[in-house]
Amino acid sequence: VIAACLELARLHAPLLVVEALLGGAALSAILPSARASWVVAILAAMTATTLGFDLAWRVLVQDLRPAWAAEGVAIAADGIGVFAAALLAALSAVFISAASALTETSNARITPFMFALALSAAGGWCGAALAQDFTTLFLFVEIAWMAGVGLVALRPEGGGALNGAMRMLAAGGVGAAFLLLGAGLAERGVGSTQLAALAAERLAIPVLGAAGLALMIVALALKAGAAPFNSWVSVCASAGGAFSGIGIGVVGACGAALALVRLAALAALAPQMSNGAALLLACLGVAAVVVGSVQAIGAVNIQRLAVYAGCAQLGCVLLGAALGSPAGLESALLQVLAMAGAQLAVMTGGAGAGGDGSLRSLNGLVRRAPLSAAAITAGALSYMGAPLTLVFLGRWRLIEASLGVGWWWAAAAAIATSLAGVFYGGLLIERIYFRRATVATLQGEPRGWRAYALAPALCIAIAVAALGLEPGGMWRAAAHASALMLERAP
Amino acid sequence: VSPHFLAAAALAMAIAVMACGIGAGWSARNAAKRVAGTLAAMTGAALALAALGASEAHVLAGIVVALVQTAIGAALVVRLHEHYGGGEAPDIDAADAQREPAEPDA
Repeated sequence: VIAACLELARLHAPLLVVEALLGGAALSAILPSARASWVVAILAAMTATTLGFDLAWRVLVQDLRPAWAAEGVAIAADGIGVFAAALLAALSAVFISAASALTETSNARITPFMFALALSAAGGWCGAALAQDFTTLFLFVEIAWMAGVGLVALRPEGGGALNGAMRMLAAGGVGAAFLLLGAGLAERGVGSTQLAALAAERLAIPVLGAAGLALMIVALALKAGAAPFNSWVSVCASAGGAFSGIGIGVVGACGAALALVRLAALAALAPQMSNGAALLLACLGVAAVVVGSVQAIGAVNIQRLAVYAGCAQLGCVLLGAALGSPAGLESALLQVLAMAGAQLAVMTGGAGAGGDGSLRSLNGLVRRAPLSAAAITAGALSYMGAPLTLVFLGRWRLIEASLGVGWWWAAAAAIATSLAGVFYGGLLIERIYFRRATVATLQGEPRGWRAYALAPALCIAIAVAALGLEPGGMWRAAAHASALMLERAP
Repeated sequence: VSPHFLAAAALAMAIAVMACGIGAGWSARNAAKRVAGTLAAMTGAALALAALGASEAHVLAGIVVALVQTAIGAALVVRLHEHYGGGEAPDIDAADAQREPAEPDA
């Protein structure tokens, strides 16, 4: 009986990953106790992670092509969808596991809603990565976005959080209008409600299809926090607190980036739209690299530095997606994973440092919190693209693929990202190892069991950065995911 | 008047409504105007879809999302007024800036 149940679960695995997260969110929200709510949330996230990893193992490692059961919702698994579902479910499990150290409130009325919204955001982005038609994509993206707005607004003592939530809502409303119209135009242009039809040899009305695709790319870039549409990011990331900062800056940014890479992979197969989509993605990528790097250099707050640096890394992801080749998509997927690890390391390590969230609170961190210091160091090395980190491999692949098609400027942008990363990553390392802590920097540091609650997240973040030491498995998974996307028949 | 002309005119008007809404949602100084702008942008997008002959499910999804955005936005406007005594973005940013040092713009 158990074997039959497992087989049935595997048949519906794509839907179950999303359902585990959204169902867990509903259960977390109705429980009155914060601890019971946390237990339910972590169980739901772990269930989704198990299902996601099993799905990824079967599709990306064992190369099985399961026939998914027809669902009431247009959800199924393709190469990038499988990669995204496993990554986003695992990210939600990691950051919810550290919730007791990341959330500043002891208000039991609010905490369950924070867990529910965090799970809803992860479930929404998973659904977007697995969506098979335009309407489903739009709905899941908006579920994730609204959950993110709620997560930022829920910080009880933060007026800045309300300001951040309002900025996020307004920017997201603009993005939603672009996405809705873009999906409608693309639907009309390709003559089908299915996303896979974007990859058709001949489109019903190519101009409409291309305009719709461009609007969808801009909308998802806005939601990923890519420059020049990232005016909402800084306030949200810093004012909403560490928990919502990680929810927006890690889960949200990676979810939107993966949805964007999947859309780019489908567009790359459409002869009538691929050039235009590549040009748009490349322009957005270069803008994100330049603006994100400059903003990160000027940042004085840890969370803000992390989101700005994430914007620069996202630029490299967009450049990889713009290439539309197997190597380009592979580099994009590796860089999304590396970006998740680096952001998680710096943001969680910053929460472990305590203080007022400014860079000053990192002074002398290695003597006070060695694990947090090690995590931030791993994140800083990732920003630099240092050898033996996963980012180095992703960026190396991007440079190879760019030079292979004569895009020397894309290779230059990838190198510029690393050079800027040396500057702001170096600032982090210098404060951690070569400065002394003052009394002011020691305030608000997590102590006792709260400090230990961060340990799993910090260790996982360090492990992700160190995947560059033995990247074989992850490299093959990313390569297989991109190959599966590009072999799809329309 | 040909039906094609009417459809094109309806589409153009819907996109004009959407563009006005996007302008207000992105750049208005007042929080309530931003919420109204996003509602106008979503309404324009939904009208444009209807003019394009998109599926009912797609148009309905747009309307539902617009309503949810407006409800959340209205709640945020009320909380902003309670917390800051107003909804003007420059005043709110100035109040927040007193708590945290500003960073150079890119």
